Amino acid sequence: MDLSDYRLSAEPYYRPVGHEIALYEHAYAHRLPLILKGPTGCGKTRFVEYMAWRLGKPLITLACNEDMTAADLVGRFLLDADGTRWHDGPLTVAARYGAICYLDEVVEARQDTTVVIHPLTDTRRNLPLERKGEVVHAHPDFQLVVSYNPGYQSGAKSLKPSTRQRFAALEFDYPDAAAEIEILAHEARIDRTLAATLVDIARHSRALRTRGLDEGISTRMLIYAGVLIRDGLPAAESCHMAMTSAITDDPDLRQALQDIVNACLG
Amino acid sequence: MPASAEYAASGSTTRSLDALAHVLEALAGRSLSVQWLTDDPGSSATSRPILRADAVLLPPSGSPDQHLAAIAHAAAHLLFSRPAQATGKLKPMGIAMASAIEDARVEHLLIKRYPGLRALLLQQARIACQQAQGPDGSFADLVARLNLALLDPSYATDDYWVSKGRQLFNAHESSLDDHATLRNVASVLANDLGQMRVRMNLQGYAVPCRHGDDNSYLWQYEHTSEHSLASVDTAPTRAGTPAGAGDTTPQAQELARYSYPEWDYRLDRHRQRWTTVIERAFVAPAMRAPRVSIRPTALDHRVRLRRQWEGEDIDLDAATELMIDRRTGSLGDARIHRRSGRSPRHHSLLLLLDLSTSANDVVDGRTVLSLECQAALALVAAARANRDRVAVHGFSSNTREQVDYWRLSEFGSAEPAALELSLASVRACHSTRIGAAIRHAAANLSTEHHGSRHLVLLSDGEASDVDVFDTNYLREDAAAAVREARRAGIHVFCLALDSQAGPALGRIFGHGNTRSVLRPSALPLALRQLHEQLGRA
Repeated sequence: MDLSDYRLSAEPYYRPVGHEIALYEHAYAHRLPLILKGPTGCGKTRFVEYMAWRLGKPLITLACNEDMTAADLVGRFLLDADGTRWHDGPLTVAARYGAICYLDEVVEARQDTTVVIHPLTDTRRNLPLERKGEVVHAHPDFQLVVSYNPGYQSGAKSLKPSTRQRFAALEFDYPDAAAEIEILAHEARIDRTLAATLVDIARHSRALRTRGLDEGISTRMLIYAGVLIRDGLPAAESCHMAMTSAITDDPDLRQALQDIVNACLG
Repeated sequence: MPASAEYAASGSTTRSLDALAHVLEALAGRSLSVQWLTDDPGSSATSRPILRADAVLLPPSGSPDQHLAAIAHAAAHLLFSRPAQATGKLKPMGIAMASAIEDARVEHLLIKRYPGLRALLLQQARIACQQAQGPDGSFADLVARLNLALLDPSYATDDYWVSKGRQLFNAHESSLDDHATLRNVASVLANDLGQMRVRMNLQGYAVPCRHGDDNSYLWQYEHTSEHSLASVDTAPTRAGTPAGAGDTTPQAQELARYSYPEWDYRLDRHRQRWTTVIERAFVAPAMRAPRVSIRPTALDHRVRLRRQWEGEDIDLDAATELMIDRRTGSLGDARIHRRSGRSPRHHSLLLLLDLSTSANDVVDGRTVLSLECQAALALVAAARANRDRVAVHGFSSNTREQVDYWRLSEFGSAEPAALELSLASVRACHSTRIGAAIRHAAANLSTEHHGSRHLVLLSDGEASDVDVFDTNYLREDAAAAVREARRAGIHVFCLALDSQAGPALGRIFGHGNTRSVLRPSALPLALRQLHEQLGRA
């Protein structure tokens, strides 16, 4: 099967904030399954894309959700004019042909779905397709990476210990101010002074996480706001549209964030 | 945005105490509570915010912008001021002057950090200048003008003292972090005022800017400041609400009045608009109604849907039929998949507590009321675990003119603590007019569109009230109310807390829909069983 569609054509922009690139390369050298933990919009997905590009491997991304079944991961029988035909799911494709399989927001999938990855993530490195009666032996290039956001997950949604213990983990957080300004200036193509102001707003919003805000303003949101400002929208309106209105439905928090935006812009 | 722009960004948006507390935490990086300051009405013109180490107290009067400016000013002090300084030998005017310069210093530093606050603070300084407390040339007037002059370079003044103050302050523009130098500026200015024979109204003086705090944060006075006696009310003061003690006890509030008919079995018809139900709720201080979204029901593997257009498995029977159909040349039904369905829909459940005097009876060393509360909490926990929507209401009656109906917790509210607080505050009193309460509860339930609807009455006795002498009258009315609710599609059940009341309640609700609990301690279990039974219904 041709996985060229899953290869990244250009180098994704990624600014390292620590040793994460070296750590990932060591993990990949031993094909250790990886968990990437961190708040939303802090660069987990971008990091995986960058590493896939750097290692020259195809990347198959799958966003997990509650209604996902094991068949959505491993595949199912379809029917055509001659009878049944097996169709590989994304996980099977990645294992069979050697790709990095990235399960985004893995805790959103139910626990009985995620157990299908177990045989792939230990020394067996295989995937039994019980419906089909086949055991797929993982390609040497195959690696499984999952991500989730430990911040707002409720107790009901978490990984089973038996799943969790198959992974090595990398923790992500929003980059420090200097790095975040650099990222924002690069991604939104705005000047550093404006980027510094926006980052300042985001830092203050993250302080409200103790006051009922699920998540602070993420780097991704900052980039959206920066792009709008670059486009010529007034700064306050851009921030309102890309950040304060989007981040919360709570009128008090939204008002507070709006006041903070007004205080920081000047 | 040019810094000189008039402050108009947020207009006159009112902000709640929560929103103001959020802003304060974000600006100052410290978590303080923000509360209303309740003061005697006579002093509202000179009433100023109070900054304490743990809280900011705001006078409820004043515009929303003034509240926001007060929060910004408080943040400035928290960020840049040294609290509780010794007053030393400073006279009152020296203290006021040092405070005014300190206010200007921290506001300058704040604006440097948050340039967007300039317009807001400037607007407040202008207002203070226009509404000076004293005549021209008085201490209050001079301080107000100096304050504006320090904030607004374009402010033109011909007053020698104000100009001198501005010059001295600007000379230290680069060293605003240096608290001590600015104290010297203040003492020079205070000295000048002394020589100008400007007098200060010791009793009536308040900081010119209404958003500025009373500066008690800055100083360590020899004896307690009079402001420390000011009472604090954390609940938002609303017109018509009697101000209560400022502790955490929730206040009862009347929400609305409703009229309901009552069934008269002797006339065999309804008496129209016969009873008045007064809806009440406890307003828990500083506790918001939580917003809870109804989560979509999850996929359930126990529910297998057959003959689907798509799915994760092939429905072998359907597939075989289809293949046979195709071989024999007919089209066949192409829906040959199986998939998981969604679990059955959830329920809405309203628990109605009987809060009549008899709930104060003691059984096995505990009051019936406390048992009811315990049972309510157990039921709410069970219902939540099942993702049902549950509300807890209570009632008592004092003649047909006053059927008190307490909304203790609402559908969809997810905070057991709020319910516990409400339950701890209810008092059992008066009588049991079941019919009116059931009619109102059914009206509440009829707005729920979430699966099947259940009304569960928790009662320890018969229907009775002081204005009714015929024992059958209220019983028949209650039975009629139950019939009406059932016709509206509501399942009505009753848990009798008294074995003697059981049969009487059974006549109202039907014996299949009544359970008697003989031992009070068994009540929580009975409730949970009832809930499970509802789930299967």
